[in-house]
Amino acid sequence: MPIHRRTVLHGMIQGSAAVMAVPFLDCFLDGKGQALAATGQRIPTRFSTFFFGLGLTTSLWVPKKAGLDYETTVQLKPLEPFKKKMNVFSGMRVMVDDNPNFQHWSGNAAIATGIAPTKVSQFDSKTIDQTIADAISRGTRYKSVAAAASGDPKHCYSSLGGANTLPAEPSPLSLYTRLFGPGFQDPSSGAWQPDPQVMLQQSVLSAVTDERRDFMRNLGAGDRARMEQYFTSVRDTERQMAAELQRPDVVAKVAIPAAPGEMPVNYALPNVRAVTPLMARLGALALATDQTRVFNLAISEPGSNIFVPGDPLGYHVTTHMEAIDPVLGYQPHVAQYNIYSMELLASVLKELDAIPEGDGTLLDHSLVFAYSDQSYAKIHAVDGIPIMLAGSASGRMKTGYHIAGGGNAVSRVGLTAMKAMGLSVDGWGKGSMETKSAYTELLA
Amino acid sequence: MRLRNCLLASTLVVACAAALAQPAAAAPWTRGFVVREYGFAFRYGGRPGVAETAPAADCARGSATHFNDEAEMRTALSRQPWRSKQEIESIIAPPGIEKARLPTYVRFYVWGRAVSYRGWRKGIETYINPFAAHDPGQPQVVSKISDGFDLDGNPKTGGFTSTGGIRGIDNALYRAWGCDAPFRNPASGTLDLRENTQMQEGLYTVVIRISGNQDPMNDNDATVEIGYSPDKIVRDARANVAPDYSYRIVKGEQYTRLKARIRNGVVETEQVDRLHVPRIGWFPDQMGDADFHRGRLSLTVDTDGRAASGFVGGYRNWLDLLAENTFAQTGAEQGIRDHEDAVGLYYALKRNADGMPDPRTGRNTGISMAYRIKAVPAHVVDPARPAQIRRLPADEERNRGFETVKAAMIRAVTTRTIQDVPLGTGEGQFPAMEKTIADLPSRDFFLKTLDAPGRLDENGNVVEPSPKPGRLSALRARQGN
Repeated sequence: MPIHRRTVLHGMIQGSAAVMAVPFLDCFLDGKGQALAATGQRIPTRFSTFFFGLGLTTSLWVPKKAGLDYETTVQLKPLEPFKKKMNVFSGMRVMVDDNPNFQHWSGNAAIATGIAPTKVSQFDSKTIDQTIADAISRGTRYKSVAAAASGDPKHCYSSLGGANTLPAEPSPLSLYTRLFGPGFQDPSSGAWQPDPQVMLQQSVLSAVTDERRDFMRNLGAGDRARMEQYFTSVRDTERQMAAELQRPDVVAKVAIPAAPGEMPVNYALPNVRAVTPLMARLGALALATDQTRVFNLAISEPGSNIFVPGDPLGYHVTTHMEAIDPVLGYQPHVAQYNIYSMELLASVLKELDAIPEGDGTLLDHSLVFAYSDQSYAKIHAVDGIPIMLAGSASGRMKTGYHIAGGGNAVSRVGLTAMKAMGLSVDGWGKGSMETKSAYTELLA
Repeated sequence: MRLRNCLLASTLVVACAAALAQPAAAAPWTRGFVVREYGFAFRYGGRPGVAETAPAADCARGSATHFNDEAEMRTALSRQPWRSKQEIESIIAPPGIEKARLPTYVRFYVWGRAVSYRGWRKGIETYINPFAAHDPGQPQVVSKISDGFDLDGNPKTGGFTSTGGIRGIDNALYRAWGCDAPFRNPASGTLDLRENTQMQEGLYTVVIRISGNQDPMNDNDATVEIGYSPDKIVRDARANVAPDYSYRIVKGEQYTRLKARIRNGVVETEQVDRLHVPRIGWFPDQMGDADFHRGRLSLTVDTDGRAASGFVGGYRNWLDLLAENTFAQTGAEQGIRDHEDAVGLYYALKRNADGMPDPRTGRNTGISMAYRIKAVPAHVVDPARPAQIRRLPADEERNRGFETVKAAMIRAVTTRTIQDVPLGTGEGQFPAMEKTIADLPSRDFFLKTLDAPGRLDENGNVVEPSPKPGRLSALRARQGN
């Protein structure tokens, strides 16, 4: 009897046909453990973003040596366990061209879109995660999922363009409910079956398809554009439902945990430290079970208000108020907050690396794009904003490098990430940041 | 014969050489520059590796420390006799702050509101009415060395000597503000760094064009032009200002053309009654005319013309300077964030004002000062069509707010009449404080105790004030009612 991923066991019960699915088995994978043996479909490569506000301290994070085997600096120390699995980019520039340097915004938006923003709090195009999601998220339940570790749903820097950002889940519980609450079926469970409610909804949506063509004919150009936007969202919903009617191509053996309890989600560092890895774990499970292939996590807004209890200033105000220590040459409290950001990034990478998948881990089959909004927050500088790419994108990205940007546009990193994710793009960005020059030396 | 031929040949060679040299020396020449550093001409006297708050050659007590910490805040608030001890302590540490979602901003805005009201009685906003608050003191520069110019031509006044040994340097702004934390130490002074970063990132561009008819290094009849360019500064791959790019010069309000003499590369302009150059700034609303009285410019150009540095200076209206600095954001925000007290700066400017006497009162309305300039070579060209200063539509509202609050402050200071905070300008941290403390358990205490420029309705919208009785009657009179 041939066994493949969609094998079901047939039988009869009391005169009726009975069908029983089987859980996901190692024998579904090919000999290398990298692809589904039956279909040859590779383990999907996932994309994540990690946003941290207020940058790092240049003298403490930028390695002196470029290339492989660079020295681990004070502020990169928390990431040392992942040094061989990531690349760090220093000295990259945000070129604002004819636009202002919007404080705490230009750097963030430029890195996410390759375009210097023309308006504060607005993106001038789709953000990189959404461009990548368009290409890789077909067939998943969610095109992308976002979470905000400080508890504000507005802390999401994923957008289709303009002022709107896709709302983030503001607590581990809401993230869990969205991912694994009503509507979720464990794809590795033998009891998986299409949701009849989804089937009904899908049929309702399909029923209006013919009528909407007639409806559109009678509309003016403006209304037609509005209806097109509306139908686009309907089509997204249909696609999501279609995905829910198929068992996801789950490739990891994971156990879905029980729902997390209510917990404080705010700017207090101990809470951010508790929430971030939990959200990362849930996001990792969602990626591993193919609920989505794009996960965005922000630990704060750009001008981060994270604070250590007892510190009356907090992170953002400290960047402006704290004097530069004349002996050290930097702001010591700010430097400590910088390290907390890197510790939180490490906690996220740890969760992704903890899920075995084929011959590696989920992190190996991912690309994590970590970045900030400022390089020197005290004066809102945007030259040299720290950027990291973690994970090898299923082997398409060479890792372990420090790329000394030398004033190159930040968009080169985004273009490199998109190429590593398998997107067929020649160039990315606009104005002075338009580039066709990916870091090809990093692409395997 | 042979000798004669030799003499003739020699004469011919000398004549040719002279003929070749003469037109070269007399040829019209032009050198252009784009400014890469532009800031107050303050000399930092601290030693490397020593805190800026430590005594130094320029500032005997180091940098100003206004609102640095709780102790400094307590001192500032204790100057108002109408504040109770409980009120002061509650402001210092707002009760229940740990329960607020944004505790750090709760404190920031509560402190901001409190320092915005330090008048001799309750209800007087300090930054618009600085004369109504006690002078908190501002450390003055004690050094005798300064950059700048001898503006009055009197070596016995001014009190500073330049590093080149010129006595009588007039730079009273340095004396008044040189110990102010955000402008002290070019390596770490927040606003000193910020103004240059913002300029280089495109907030504004200043260009200089020098031309003459003799030699770029020595010319008795040169011309210096300075003004804004609508073109953004071009930076190279290392983010340095790139040399040799072309910039248009705007011949508008902030453009000045000066006669100059050049000796060994040192360009000295004439001193003119009014010298218009771009201001320094780090926000769009600070852009505009520096408007120096009795202004002049000095620039030292390298032999190869690859770099220029120097100063432009004169007397500026000290109320303009105060407004440009205080209302870049709000008085309180800049004060608490950058450890600067605009009330202290107001009194320091008033004490040190040394020029532009008011013909009516005799009081000095101006203060001597200079901007430091460092520039790289550029092609400064006249625009094919009249060019305007670059300004974004989005900046207009901010500019209007700045002008409104500046006008209120100048009206208050010149008429000695207490002015209200113009609503919608953000001054007085209104309504930022009200919105930030919405979830603070002690919210009601602060709403009741602290002065406010206005109030919010139950939906969080600013309630438009009803005209005061006096104003209402004046309004009716104007309307003929």
